[in-house]
Amino acid sequence: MKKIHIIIGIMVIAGIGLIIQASGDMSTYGTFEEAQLSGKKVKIVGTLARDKEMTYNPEVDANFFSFYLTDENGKTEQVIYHKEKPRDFELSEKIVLTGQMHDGTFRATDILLKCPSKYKDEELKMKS
Amino acid sequence: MQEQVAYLNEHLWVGQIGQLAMVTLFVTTILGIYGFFKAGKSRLTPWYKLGTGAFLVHSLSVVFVIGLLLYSMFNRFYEYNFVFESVSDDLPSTYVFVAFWEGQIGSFLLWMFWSIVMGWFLWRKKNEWSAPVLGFLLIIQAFLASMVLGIYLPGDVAIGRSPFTLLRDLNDAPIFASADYIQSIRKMANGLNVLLQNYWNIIHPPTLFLGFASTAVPFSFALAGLWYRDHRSWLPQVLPWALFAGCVLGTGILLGGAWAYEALSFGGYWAWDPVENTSFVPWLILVAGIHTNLVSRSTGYSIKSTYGFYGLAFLLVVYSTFLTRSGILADTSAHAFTEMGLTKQLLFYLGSLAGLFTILYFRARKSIPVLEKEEKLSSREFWMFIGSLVLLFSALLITYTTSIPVYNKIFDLFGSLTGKDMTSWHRAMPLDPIAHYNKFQVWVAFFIALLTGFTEWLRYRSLGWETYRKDYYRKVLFHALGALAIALLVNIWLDIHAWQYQAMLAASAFAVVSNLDYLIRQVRGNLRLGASALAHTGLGIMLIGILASGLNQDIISKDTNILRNDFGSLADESLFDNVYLTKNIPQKMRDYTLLYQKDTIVRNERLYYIDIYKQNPEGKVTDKFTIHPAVVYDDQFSKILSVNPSIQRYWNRDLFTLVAQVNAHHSGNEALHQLEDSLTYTRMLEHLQDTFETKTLTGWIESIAFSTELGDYTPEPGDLCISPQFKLRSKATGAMYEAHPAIVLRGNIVYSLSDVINNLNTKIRLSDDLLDEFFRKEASQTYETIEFKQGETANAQGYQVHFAGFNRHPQHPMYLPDSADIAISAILEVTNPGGEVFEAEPIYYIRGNRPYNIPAYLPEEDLMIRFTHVDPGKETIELQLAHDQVNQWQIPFEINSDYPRDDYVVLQAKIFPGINLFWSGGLLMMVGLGLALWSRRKQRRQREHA
Repeated sequence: MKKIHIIIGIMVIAGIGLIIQASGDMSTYGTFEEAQLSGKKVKIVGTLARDKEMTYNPEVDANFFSFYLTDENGKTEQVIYHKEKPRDFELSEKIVLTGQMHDGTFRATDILLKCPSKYKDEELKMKS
Repeated sequence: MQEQVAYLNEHLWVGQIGQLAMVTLFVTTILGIYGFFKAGKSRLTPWYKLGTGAFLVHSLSVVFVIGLLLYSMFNRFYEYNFVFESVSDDLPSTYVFVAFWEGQIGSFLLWMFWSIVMGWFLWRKKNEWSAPVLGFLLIIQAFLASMVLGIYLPGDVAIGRSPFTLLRDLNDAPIFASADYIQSIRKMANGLNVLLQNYWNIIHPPTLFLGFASTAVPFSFALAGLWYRDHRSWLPQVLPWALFAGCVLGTGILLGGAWAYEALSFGGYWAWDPVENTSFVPWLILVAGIHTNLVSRSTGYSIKSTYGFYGLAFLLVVYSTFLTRSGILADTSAHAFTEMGLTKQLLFYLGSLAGLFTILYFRARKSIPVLEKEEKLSSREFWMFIGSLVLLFSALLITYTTSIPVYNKIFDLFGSLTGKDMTSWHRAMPLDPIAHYNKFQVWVAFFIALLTGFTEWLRYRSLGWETYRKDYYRKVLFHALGALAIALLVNIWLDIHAWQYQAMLAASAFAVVSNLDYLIRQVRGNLRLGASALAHTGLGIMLIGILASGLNQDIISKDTNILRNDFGSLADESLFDNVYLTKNIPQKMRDYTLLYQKDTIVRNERLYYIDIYKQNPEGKVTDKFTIHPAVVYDDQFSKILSVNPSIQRYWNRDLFTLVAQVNAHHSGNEALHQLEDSLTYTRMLEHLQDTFETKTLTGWIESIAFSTELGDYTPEPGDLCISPQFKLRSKATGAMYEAHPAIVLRGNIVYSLSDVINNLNTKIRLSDDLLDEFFRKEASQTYETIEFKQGETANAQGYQVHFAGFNRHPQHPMYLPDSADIAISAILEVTNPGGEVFEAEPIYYIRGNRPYNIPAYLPEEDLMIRFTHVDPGKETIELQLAHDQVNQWQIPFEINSDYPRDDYVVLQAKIFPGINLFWSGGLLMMVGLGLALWSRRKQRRQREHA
């Protein structure tokens, strides 16, 4: 057996290992219920509950934004995000949250908005 | 069925000859392919002439189509969808080019343009490979041409999207019933998004597309080599092309990073976004190919892998094109194109080229020479090959994650075939993509850095290893020790704790030391021989820069009062980034003090000027500068489109600042209207000195002025201005504030100038009825007229008025001097019945043959004095005096005490340490690639001369 084959063999094994590990990083979209049950960090897709209160008052706290999101199962929960309110938040069609449940509210660490396209060839999507 | 309308002002000839050129452009690729393949390696056949002729016509057609489109864009032929969607009347001409290549069609044409430029350079070589390589290049070109062809086959199958499609053919709208519809749609033309109107967009896309186009050349060479089963003679030929492609594509990617860092708000130069990844991956594979190409040229090993890498590099470019243009990434990327109906065609393109390559490869596989003897461990080629494998490994891992949306689509396809719901199989991108990619790529960086360090000093075929060995190990040891020392020093600065990153730092330092030493001691600064060492030194520096600026990003605007954070153990690094700045109030941020000084509008941006002072522990200011991060509005200022960071650069770090949030008043007119609609004002009607209150304040109107100095107001002759002077006391703090709202009557238009007192969250605006009140009182007014000369005294309304003299340069808030004015004011001393003396200075002026006067008002006496006439003959002036009885006025106004402040901005500030290492390292790597290209050309020239 050639040295090169041994090295390639090692790399293939390492590669498979890493890909399995990488697959572990890939998440599925969860729901509030799953987040509540598992207590783990999840991604949730939902829509803004427009009839509920939305608070961002930088004069009081520039790092506190709260709103309500309805997940794909129709469950609505309060979301707290310790950062500024993302631009064009109200225009969003879909919101993707990363975070976890804590004390009955969802604590988001990242918010991704999907907005209706304003530009011709581009789907406008902003990372907050 | 719509009736036939004879449309006006259309330029149908453009579309007719354009479409003709488009068809020519496509047909000539087929002809060219045919000619060049028939010619094969012989340039003396008429087939070669046919190929060349077809290629020439093709090239001219591409240039003609591009020229015609640019012409239509410059002349704003809005009847064409392409023009309508990309430019508008107010687009500056510099950006017409950007508008051209910003969309899908334009960028395909740009790509084709670069392909022909390279094609002609290949043609000029005039050697046995010219025709075959051009033939394969034209196959690629034919696929690209089909994307913009716009031909409709029976059964509603469209091939490509033509830029010469008429707007009215694409849309069915009532407006097209009008013959002169072009006039009406002018204003509706989309134009170029202001976000894309910057110089990065002038240089980045052409560079990137030149990079993409140039990877097609090694691909075509590989196909040609396989086609003729001539596996060796193309290897030296292709190398300069691969070096060129690596250099240009790499530069394009770096420019993209620079753009993201400087102009966009992603807050960094690399975010592992799928669109970024899919242009980076082909570069990695191409670089792997360059290395095996070097090996195969010098030793005869690695020919198969060179085929593989050059093949894969371009196929990955096509895959990237497919991903970014099919709309498949819309869910996962911040900057992909949307679907435009080309998905199937792109997939066909990808499949055909991949199939072509695979078939040719397996057809020729047996004939590819493989050396039986194994490479020695002490040979350069062995480790270069390993390095290429590591690059491949890296590329595959990145592609594996980037392709998640593709897997989902495949699941869906499978689901639709079997009738099952496959949505539960869908996978989302990793929760933290940056951490995900970094976790693997840190080891790729580690191995690559290590390999470049010790391989540079090895020799091909282990030449003279027996005598060299001792010396070699001594050198490597020396480099390792040097690298360790440097890494330790650097880590004092960077303070990296994770051992993985420490390892990467050490390896990167090793790459720098070893390659630098090679440059200095081995080739003695002869850059012609040291191109690779230079590029690898750059790589090492760049990796250190990535560690420094990526890992040690320090968000200095972070809320340090983290105790009030109820997040507990959930606290996430990415949160609490904002600092709140009130105008003119200094705000501490670590050892910096920030002062939000002012904001101004420049074109469609609002720039925030913020002074930053850095203090040492003794409180001494060691550094002072002003930043000006901005928000970008659309042309109507209706909303904010984006933010522009401001970067303060130092040799060893950047201070990066970004507006995170602006107050409601700066959020664009839409938001402002919404805000006003949502507020309810309390209406009040008060006499002077009456007190009134709201939930936050007690107030009264102290007096009335007939002028104002409120921000946006510029007085004009004839303006009537009434401005009650409010005194307000905060209920919370007892502090006193003043407010001076005003109402201005100009001609028959009324302007209400409201006043906002931020500290009371209060806005006061006057009601229009105030004017009625004024005119009602004014009508019942009895003026007493006096006429006298300078120096005289007269009596009126019980006052003694002394006319002391003229002032020929009168000043008053309500008077804006004009050079053509004749303006004077009368300096008066007015004595009341009690013997008190007041000064008054009413103004009289003539502008454009019309007399105007600005009265003087004595609030204490409630006396209005008007200067109404000058009689030059008698040298007298005429004054009119009256008591305005403002005490009896009832002043109507509206007040709101929930009003958001308009004097703050929310800022984020970050320090990127060592970011210049990243840029300079990256640049050095590209210079190294360019240098390798240059020195190889030179070598070849010399060989040809000899």
